[in-house]
Amino acid sequence: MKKRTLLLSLFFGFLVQSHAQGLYTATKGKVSFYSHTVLEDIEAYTNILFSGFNTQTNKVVVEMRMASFNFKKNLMRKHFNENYIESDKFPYAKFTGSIPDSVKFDKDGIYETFATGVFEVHGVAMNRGIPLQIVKKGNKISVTSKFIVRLEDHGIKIPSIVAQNIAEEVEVTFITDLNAR
Amino acid sequence: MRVKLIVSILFLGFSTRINAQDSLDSLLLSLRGNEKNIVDNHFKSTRIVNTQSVEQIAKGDLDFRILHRFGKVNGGAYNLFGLDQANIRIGLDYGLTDNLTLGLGRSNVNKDFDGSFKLRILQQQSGKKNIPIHLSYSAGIVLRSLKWTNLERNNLFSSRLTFFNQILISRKFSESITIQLSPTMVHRNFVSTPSEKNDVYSIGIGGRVKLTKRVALNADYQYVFPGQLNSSNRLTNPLSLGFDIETGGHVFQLHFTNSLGLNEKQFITETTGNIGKGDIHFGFNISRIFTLGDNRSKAQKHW
Repeated sequence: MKKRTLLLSLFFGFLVQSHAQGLYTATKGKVSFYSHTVLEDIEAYTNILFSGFNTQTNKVVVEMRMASFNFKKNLMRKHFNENYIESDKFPYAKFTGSIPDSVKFDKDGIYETFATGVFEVHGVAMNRGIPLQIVKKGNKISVTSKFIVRLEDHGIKIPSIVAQNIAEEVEVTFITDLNAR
Repeated sequence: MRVKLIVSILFLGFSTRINAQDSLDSLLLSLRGNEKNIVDNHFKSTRIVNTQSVEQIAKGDLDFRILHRFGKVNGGAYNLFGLDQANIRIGLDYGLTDNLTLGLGRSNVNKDFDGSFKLRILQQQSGKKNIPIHLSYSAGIVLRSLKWTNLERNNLFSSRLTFFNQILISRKFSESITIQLSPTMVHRNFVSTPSEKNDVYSIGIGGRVKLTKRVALNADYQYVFPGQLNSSNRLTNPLSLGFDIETGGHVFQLHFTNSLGLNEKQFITETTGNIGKGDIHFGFNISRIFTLGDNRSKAQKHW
């Protein structure tokens, strides 16, 4: 009986430990996006980025707060939130995905990989993959990614009057340093 | 005993597995809790119709604003239903900081000059702090520069001045609905009859319903407490109803109002239109924002 209890507690301990291990999170990062047309370049920046990464399940979650983006012109910010992204209704852009199981994050190093999953902006979700550069060093993991978002894919309509100013494809970049929990 | 154990182990293992799977999502939710969520964009522009709204001009932006009121719609075909008459104010509002807007204007009614400022004190937000309202304070001076008609009187310069103080309290209840209360005090240095009060108190109530992303329906009313104004002039309370239409850098406000007033002194203490008798004016405000400052460095600073 004693032996059994011991085994059981060991088993529990293992379960709990394995649950906590391999979990990395961050509440800050650098996100920017860039839209280029002949008439106007639009850039926006924010350092609010929530991310979580489980090296055991290879699951990745990244969340960006739309209202936190800052622009060169205040009016761009207002229009971005009010007319295009509708950040009152859809406050976050979110990517939920997985890195292929074949990639094991058991050693420190640089991993050039990708994640496939669901990317949701403006309330419209889309299945897609994004490239990831992951640097693991001790208790820290740094994730960098650059990918293209087509506004049309996410139901963001650009009126013809400003079609010259806003690109159909926007380049999104993010960098974040995650810490083990 | 053994069966019980196995079941409990299985159960625990199972529940932990579920936990691990959606733990990332729930983790993110818990991380979000400390955020500062500002409820922004209560109105499309810095005026509801006549009354100032809680909206500020962002730092480094200049708002060029034309207010235009036509004559009475019931003026008949001879006056082209009011379109023959034009009361105009041309104004500039500048955002010194994100929380302080300075304004200057000139209207052709009484050749009034006006200068004002609007200071934001509270911002509606949730998350880290919970503040249910936007709160701003606005104050200004109006200078009547029209030549005195009564030259027998000793006309002092100070008699040309009127001051106003306003507290603007606004809450955005949902994405589309905002309501604003604006207790106001107008101090007139000069009144034409002894029965009139120099200090005139009123309370403004206004709001908007956002109909589409770019169009909103606005209403704006000032209740002037009775017994303060010249009773023989049949003065009324200003009521306005109109649409905000936003097109890129412009906001067009098209409305119907019983007031020809273009600044706080005019529309609170000098409105004569009687809606019951059909004294309604068509009017519009045009606002064009120019970006003078470049926020790029500010945008990148916290990056």
